[in-house]
Amino acid sequence: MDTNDKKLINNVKKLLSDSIDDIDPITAARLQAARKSALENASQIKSNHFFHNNRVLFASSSALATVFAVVIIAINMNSQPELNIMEDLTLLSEKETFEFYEEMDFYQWLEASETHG
Amino acid sequence: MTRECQKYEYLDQEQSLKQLDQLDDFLKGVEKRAFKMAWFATSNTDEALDIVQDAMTRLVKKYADKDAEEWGPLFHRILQSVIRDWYRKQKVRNRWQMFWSSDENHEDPVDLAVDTYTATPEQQLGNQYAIEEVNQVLTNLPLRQQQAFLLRTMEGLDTKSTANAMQCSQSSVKTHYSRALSALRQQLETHYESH
Repeated sequence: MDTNDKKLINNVKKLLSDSIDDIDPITAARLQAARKSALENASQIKSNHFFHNNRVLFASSSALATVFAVVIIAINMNSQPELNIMEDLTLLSEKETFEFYEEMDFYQWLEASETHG
Repeated sequence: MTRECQKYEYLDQEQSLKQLDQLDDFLKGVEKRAFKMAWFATSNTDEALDIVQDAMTRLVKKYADKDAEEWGPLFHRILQSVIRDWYRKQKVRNRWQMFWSSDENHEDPVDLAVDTYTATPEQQLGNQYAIEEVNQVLTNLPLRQQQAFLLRTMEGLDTKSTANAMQCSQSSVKTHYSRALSALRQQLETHYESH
């Protein structure tokens, strides 16, 4: 690139810079409005994103709490009948009569008094 | 909501506001030159403003979270892409308009379009003639030559950054730039010799 080209480029650069400085106020205001609009759009997206994230977090924790509650209830519901069934099976499998178990206290007292006596 | 959550929400909002302020400063710094580039491509103020707003919106939508140093190259790339899209659409539109009005003696709608770029009193003084002459020459250049020249001269980008913005090779940028310079040299001879 020779000196003349550099001079030409510098002249054009200066003229372009001047034309940018001379952009009329109406166009400058419209550019400013365009910028504000673009940024508002961005902040809206950000807040939506934040709301979306919070909503997901809330939904996830609610679902987790529900699952946890269901599991606890299920365990409670399942464990109690299991114990009862086991007790019932033990009672049914024994040779002794139901009366024997109903009067268990009496037999224990009798056994204790015989031992001491 | 716990105090910890509120704290994080506050910090997040504060961070976003700071980032938006930085973006605002960045866009404020490039908007007039971006408008000028779009204006040279379209020769129409409304179209140029639409292109700039589109480029700004795309930048903030997709790349607001990027580091501030990355915004410049990204914005130029987006702007060039939007200008090219506009140019392609305009070409198709013109072809259809020519097809439909081929047997009628209608004037080209682009020629009839009102140019809302009005000169201020200041512009009419001093080097206004030279500015208009440069505007004329740059507007008439092929799009790639015009944009390569503007990116190199007005934005001060090097060949590599210009190639990145225009999504072409560095050798293409050199060719476009050289041809643009040659056209300017030929057409601005009077002004060129007088300085």
